Amino acid sequence: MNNSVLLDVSKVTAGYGNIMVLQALSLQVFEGEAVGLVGPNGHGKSTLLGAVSGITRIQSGAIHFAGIDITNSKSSKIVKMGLSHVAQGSRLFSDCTVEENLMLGAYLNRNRKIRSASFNQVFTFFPKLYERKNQLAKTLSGGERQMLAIGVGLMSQPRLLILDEPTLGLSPSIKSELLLSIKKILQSGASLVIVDGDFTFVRELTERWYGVSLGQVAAEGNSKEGMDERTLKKLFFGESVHE
Amino acid sequence: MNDAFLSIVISGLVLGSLYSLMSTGLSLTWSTLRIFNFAHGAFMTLGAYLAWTFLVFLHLPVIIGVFLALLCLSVSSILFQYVFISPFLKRQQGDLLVMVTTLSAMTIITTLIQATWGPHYKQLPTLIEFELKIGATTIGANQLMAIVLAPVMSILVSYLLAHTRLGLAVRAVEQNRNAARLVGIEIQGVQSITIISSTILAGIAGILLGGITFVSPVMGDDPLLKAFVVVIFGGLAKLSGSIYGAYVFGFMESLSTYAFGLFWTPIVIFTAMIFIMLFRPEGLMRGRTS
Repeated sequence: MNNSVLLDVSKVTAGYGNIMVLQALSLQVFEGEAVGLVGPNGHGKSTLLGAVSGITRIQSGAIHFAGIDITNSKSSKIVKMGLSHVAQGSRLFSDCTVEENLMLGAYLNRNRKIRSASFNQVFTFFPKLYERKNQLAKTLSGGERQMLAIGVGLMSQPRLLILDEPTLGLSPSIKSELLLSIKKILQSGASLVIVDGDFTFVRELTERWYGVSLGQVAAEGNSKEGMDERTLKKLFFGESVHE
Repeated sequence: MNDAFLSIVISGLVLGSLYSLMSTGLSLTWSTLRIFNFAHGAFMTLGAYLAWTFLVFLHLPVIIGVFLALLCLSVSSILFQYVFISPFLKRQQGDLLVMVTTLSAMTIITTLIQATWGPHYKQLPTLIEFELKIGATTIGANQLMAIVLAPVMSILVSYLLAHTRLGLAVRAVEQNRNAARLVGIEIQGVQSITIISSTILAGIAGILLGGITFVSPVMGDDPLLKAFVVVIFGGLAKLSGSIYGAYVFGFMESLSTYAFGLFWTPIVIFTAMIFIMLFRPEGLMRGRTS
């Protein structure tokens, strides 16, 4: 594996108004690597992703992507550099067609050849999207929406793909279908940061994981070695007084 | 009777055209910025005064004068965005703040207009020399232009929204601002383009109206009020709704003026409007983003 750092988050403090959700959080993602973020809700995972993609303003600290400082840069600049963030929840343009949604994913890419290559790639990963090309996004099923959201994220040909809760609300069979597709995406060489409540899903996809709690990295480990129950309990429920 | 019918139709079409020019702009700014722009009418007035300055005061040829008027109007609309809208929109309850700031902008612009051009009425020349006579009814050039130009502009805007990269970006911002930012769309840039386009539409309405009636500092107030009603009546944020709504409203107004007279018309149409809203609270067309 290439050992250069692709994403370097260094002592980032960020939040909303006066409330700082991230407290000097640091983590790194290497080129070609897949990293998982786990931890209780409301402890900063999505805020961190927002800070990385330019949605949330950072109070202090720095973020570098491929060696370039992107601290508080505009999202458009960050997307252009090859970082694509598929946010949690409603992330589609529901009154646009599937094709238009994908087109928007390639908004900054005016080169037709590259764009049609992206279309082909997305349709290879998610053949269903091709069938539904002319349908409005709001008429898709939950699983298809998820696929479209990831497809939109892939249209900019990212070096780093960030997925926030991709399996939320999906049935087990659709989850495993999605797992296979994301694996294929990883084989194509992109790096990945994934946040998900389903640890098995995260473990299957990633090489390393970080546990985020109270706005800091509270634990980290190798995904293949598994996440031991005690560490996870501590991450989610805090230190036991009896220990 | 035939003549009366014809003049009702023509006046309905002219009013509908003016309202559709005004409400298209309001609808666009509503959908991309989530604000009701109270200064929209003042920009209509400003457009008419700028045109008067270039056409009557400076005697410039029509095409150049109108172009310069719309250019100045565009520049002032960008100033307006950066002074009165953008700084406030980001704050908490920004939409409410912006309601107040656009209201202030309306007052400021109207007062500045009066200070610059004086309180006396002015008249814009007809843009082309033309008159259409059908029986005893004469249709003036500006009326005819309004009737033709408004649908052309509506079709143009709809086409741009549906088939261009920029139009797609506008729709993206309208539907999901955060997702639009995440695919790399510059939200403020898209908002600027929306504000410029809607101001130009208002300016065109002002220039046409200024040739049909008079140019006065408050000429934009009444069309603004009507356009607001039209936009809500037509189905908030749905462009086609605003356009249909504009013509329905225009015809109602012209019919009522014929039947009950000018004095009672506001009461008649606004009462009718309230009744319609009782039965179709979602407006004529269901809004995309309501």
